[in-house]
Amino acid sequence: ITLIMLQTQAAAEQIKLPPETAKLRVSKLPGYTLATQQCLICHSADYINYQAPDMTQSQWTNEVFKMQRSYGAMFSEHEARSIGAYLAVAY
Amino acid sequence: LNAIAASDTSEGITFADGPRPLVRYPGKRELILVHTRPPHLETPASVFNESVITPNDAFFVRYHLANFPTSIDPETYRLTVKGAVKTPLSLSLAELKSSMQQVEVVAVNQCSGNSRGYSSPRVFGAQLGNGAMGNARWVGVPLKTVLEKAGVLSGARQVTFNGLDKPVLPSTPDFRKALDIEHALSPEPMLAWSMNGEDLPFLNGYPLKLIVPGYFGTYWVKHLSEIEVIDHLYEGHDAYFMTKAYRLPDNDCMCVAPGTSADKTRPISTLPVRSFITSVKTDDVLPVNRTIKLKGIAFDDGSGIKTVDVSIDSGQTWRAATLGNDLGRFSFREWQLAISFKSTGSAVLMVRASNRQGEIQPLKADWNPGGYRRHAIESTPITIA
Ligand code: HEC
Repeated sequence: ITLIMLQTQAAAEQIKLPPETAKLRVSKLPGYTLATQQCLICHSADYINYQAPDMTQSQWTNEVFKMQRSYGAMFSEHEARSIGAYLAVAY
Repeated sequence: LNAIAASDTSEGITFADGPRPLVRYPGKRELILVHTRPPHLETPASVFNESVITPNDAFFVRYHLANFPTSIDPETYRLTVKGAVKTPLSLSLAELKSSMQQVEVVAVNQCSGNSRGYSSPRVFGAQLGNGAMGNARWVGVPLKTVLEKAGVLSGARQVTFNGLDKPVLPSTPDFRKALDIEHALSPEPMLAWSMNGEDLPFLNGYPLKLIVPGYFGTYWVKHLSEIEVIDHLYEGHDAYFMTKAYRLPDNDCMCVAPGTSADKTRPISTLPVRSFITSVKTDDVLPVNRTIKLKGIAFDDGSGIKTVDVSIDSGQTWRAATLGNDLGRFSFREWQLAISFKSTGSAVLMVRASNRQGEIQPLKADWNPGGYRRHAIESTPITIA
């Protein structure tokens, strides 16, 4: 049985993904802690890091609301605004 | 390392975090990092000058959802065909490969958001240079043949496609796409297991990928596992990437005034005509009074490239380039032009393609909120010395 299992294992195509090193920019703003808890659940921090610089607070806040409304991220409206404020300053 | 990535494909794009690094993922040479999880990798510009076929290890990678398999057993893998069909199917790879007529096509897969980083004003989304495209030889079976084997019932409106990738949280929509039934039953779309003579690279959708020649890459579902024929237009939570994302303004130019939104939208579909110079990159120094062979690629939705014109004087005058081998109407088409610069100083090279539908690349890029479908004439500033 072990042999058969080994054979099936060997037949599978497998990949090992490189480690994730991207981190959100550190800040003393309360939105930073919230962002580290919320924004890395579904994807890596480089989704945020490589956006265009100088996006405004309202643009960032809308983007955070998009994560909530379109992609089902679980945070409150108040938290979303706080994260938006952090992102606008940090990026 | 970083500097190479920055100047290679993303010239003129600024990122909040500075230049993006080159990274190595399984089955891939060093590619430009867009996102780590899920992987999103861009092809360096130099690759497009290497060959008209994009090598498998250099082909761009794009996922939306991070919960995708990293191990797939070709023995147990099944493609399900269900919904409004007479006979639902569960096909193994072996059955797909042996029981139907195989077809082959050379076709460009270009991401809807290719070149999004050049949008002005900037928009959210992957900040891509021009490397989210590639041209490969795909072998598989026509989608039509598989659908006919299952027997499409009358009243069918669309066909939906799902792959093995899943959202991290159930509240996030799955990544699924739909084609109208007429398109699904047309000769073009195919289910491919082979890319450039090898199994599909894992990160390009091993073991089976939907190929939709002439259409943007968003329809080319990876790790394809489920096909459903439906008797209505696709809707609901998991139809998000059809009904909410990957949409363009529903007007002739598929554009709106920069910074505004569209009242009505429609799903993105076919590739507009586009061309690039591949043999020269921004800020190269070229010699004066010497014959130089310029080289590049052009492509469109399969109507067929008609002309490629090149300007070496910022668009004041244009001369016709010679088209290279025709690998099929959905493929990159190579072009060449011998030129000689008569004076030193700065110059701007431009390239402009037209197709058999009479479509021609515009001088100025239009704008849409998703930063999709960029196809304006490319300019390459250089120095003559
Ligand atoms: C529940 C899942 C989820 C959470 C939590 C989440 N995102 Fe996203 N995010 C997504 C998905 C799905 C995408 C689209 C992925 C793709 O197309 O590659 C995305 C894409 C993005 C993008 C790229 C632009 C775009 O609109 O596609 C940015 C920027 C982003 N997220 C920022 C954030 C920030 C900031 C947070 C935290 C406030 C966050 N995300 C939390 C699911 C999530």
